[in-house]
Amino acid sequence: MNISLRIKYSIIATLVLATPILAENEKNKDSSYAAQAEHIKQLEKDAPSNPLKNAYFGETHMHTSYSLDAYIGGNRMTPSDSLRFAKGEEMLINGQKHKLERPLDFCAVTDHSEYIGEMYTAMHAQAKGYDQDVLKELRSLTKYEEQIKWFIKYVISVNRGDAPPKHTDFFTGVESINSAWKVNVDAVREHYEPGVFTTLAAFEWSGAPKGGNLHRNVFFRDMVLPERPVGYAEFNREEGLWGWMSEQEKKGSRLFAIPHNSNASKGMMFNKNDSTGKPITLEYAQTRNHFERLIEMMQIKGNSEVHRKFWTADEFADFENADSLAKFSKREIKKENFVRHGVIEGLKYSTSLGVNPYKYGFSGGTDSHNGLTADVAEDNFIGGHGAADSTVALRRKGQVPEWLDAIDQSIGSITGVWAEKNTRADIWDAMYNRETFVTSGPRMLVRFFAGETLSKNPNDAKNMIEDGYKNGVAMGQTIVGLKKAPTFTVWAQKDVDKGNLDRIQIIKGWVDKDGKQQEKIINVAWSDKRKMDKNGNLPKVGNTVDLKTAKYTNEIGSPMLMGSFTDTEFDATLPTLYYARVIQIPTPRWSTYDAVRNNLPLLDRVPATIQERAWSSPIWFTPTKEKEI
Amino acid sequence: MIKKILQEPLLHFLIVGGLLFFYISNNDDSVEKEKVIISQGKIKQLSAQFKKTRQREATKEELQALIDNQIREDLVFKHGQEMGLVENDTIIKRRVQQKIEFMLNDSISSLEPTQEGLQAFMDKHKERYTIAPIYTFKHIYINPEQHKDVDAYIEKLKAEKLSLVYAERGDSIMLKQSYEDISSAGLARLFGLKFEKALNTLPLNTWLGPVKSGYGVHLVYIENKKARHLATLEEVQAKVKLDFRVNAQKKAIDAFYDALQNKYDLVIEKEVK
Repeated sequence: MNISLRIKYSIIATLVLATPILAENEKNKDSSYAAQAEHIKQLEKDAPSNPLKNAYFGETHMHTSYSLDAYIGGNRMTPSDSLRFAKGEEMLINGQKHKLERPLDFCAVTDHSEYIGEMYTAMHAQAKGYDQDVLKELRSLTKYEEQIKWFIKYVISVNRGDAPPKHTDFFTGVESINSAWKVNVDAVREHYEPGVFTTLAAFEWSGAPKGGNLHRNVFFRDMVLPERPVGYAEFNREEGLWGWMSEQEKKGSRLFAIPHNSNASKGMMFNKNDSTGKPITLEYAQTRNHFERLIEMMQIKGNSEVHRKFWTADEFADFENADSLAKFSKREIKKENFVRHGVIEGLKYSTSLGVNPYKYGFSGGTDSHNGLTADVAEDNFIGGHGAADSTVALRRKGQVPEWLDAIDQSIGSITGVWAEKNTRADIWDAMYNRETFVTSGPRMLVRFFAGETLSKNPNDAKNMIEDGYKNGVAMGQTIVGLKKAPTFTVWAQKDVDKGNLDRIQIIKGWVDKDGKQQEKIINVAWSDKRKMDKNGNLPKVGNTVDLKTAKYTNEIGSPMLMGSFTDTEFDATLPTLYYARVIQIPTPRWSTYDAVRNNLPLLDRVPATIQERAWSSPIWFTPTKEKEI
Repeated sequence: MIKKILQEPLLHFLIVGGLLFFYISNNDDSVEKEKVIISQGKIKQLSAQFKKTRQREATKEELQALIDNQIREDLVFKHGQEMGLVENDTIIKRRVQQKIEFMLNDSISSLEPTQEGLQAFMDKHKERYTIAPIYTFKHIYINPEQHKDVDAYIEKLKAEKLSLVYAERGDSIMLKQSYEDISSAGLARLFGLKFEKALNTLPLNTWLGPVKSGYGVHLVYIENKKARHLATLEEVQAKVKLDFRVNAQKKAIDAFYDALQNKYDLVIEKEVK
């Protein structure tokens, strides 16, 4: 095109646009980066603040079309689309309109960093390598079975097995990764509204040696970001990832990681040995403690807190156990894979090494591969894995390839963060400091404090919280050295639009003098004036769910519960941890809504009703201070 | 046997090559030849492109190779054009269309609308810039679990001068007792969707209730309610600017196609039955 033509078109355009309303050549003030940063800073400063902290709800684990496995399932959402969904906009998913009942407060898009470069190449016509035959083939496939075949042929085969994983043959170089990462970062910039909606730059590192899930999501505090994220082709074990993370720290980034799906880790998430097969060292423990502050409690591929098979004394352990994980990829349901086992195991190292490598607060996520964010309402579930579970029939009888039977999916969980403000710094810092909780879906709230001098039997929430911050520590913190038994205060409030609460429990874990794990579950507050028996057990709260209509009532349970527990059996010589668990009254499981809405029988394999729950991050006690890092 | 020979690609190649040669050589030499120019600018561009990808200057030989390549590209394109190959190629057509639309879009996104322009645009699309209701209200929370007879307790409360004593009444809950300028979305978030709906219909400046929420019941006193209202430009500047540009692009493209229709004598032939 020659210049005169270009000018001609410009003139046409200008003429069309009724010239008087346009002032040409005026500098666009917003476009300057510095001015924008200044503007954001001011908004952050002006954001409403609460010194007693608010609960902000958000998503820490989900995938867009930039994750190859998600694209295969039909996902065409961009990071920007997903953030718009998080803010409450309606989107078209698998051919149906879908939106969140309530918008989120914060969100991170965590695409598998491994193939974002390849996906950029596949989706951008101007990208180098767009025309490769294998990508033309990918784009032309319409049937899910063909897409899966393609996926296994070109992707799975280079990842699984003993050989070190590598990029696909259609990878065109790191520039494609940089470009894809920029798409995510641009969306993070675009959708950040301090005080209203926080976005965090993030990615998923998907290391899975021998098919054991060691995946971690990495979160950045601000926009000091690397040129590109890192994947399992660069480092297939956690030590490599941490090495990379510490390089980023040296360059000025602040970042931490959240491991997830420990239930599918083949015994590797809380392994006694490091990747070379040697017992973990002080350095390993310190590095892990420094970079890994939270662990994902539950997601669409099951609940990782406990499993009924190993925790027979825990009456609420039979919850979204996702047993069919063991049908695929030579997995096993093992006690060593579960979070409660892991965090108590960490106490051993607190004694032997002086540092706890598994000092995890709790967070939640969905791992949705539909580009959806915290889509966790049981009565609004449309599947999480594209074509694999997009219809009622598939959700009842189908499978998520390589993972589990679709009916075993739990939908996932949502992270709650206690922070003074809804800004990047406040949300990230609260997560880093483990002042977080997680719920299996409903937006219930839980506060949890510990201290020697806290007032017992609280009856006013505000007083309890003020007392907690002033005279004790909040969830996620550590008490060092105690002279007398600690008191724990706990308060929970229901999700205003959902079911009432059944009870609050405190779960205590420690390692006895013989090096054996011990635990105890204490009922602290409960509804309906039930009588506790001499063993500390309560009668069941009841169940109001009508299985014909999938409706329940709030005639049982309480809108809020409060209480305290003083641990008179406390041994001041043993590292110990405590976390709160809030149980909701029974409500229908998503599979029940699917069945009732489509006049189908309920399936025996899964319970028709579930008791949703919230978990606070633990509070730790150590006899002496841990070694400084 | 003949069938097999006819399917032989080599034969096809020879025939096509022969035809092309015939076509080229048959051009009359006496007519002045059309010029194909490799301009100075083009050569500069080639060498700059080389430098950008390789991070160094091209050698003389390398530059010559690039130029040779360009000569071939230009000659064959010219020749293909003459043969009418460009005419009905959908990919080329779409590419040209895309290029022109990009140019139009480009020229518009660099234009900065004035405040007056934005205001005029906003006035024209009022319905897009409404702001949801905003409330200023007080409330007293009653936890049904803590009262034997909730109705009697409500009656007792209502008999009091509540505006003076409301702060001392009500059961413990992690909600404030009064809210200033809270949006309907904020209200729904704290008190639930049903409560927000209920509040939307209540009159101002009187204690009313019980209003139900997921937590129990509330007595409510609404001091002020800004009904759903049209935003001012100040409130939604960024959004208006974005919409303005999107709209301008769309309009420019439509107008451009209209202009094109005027430029040519467009004939749409009726479908043959």
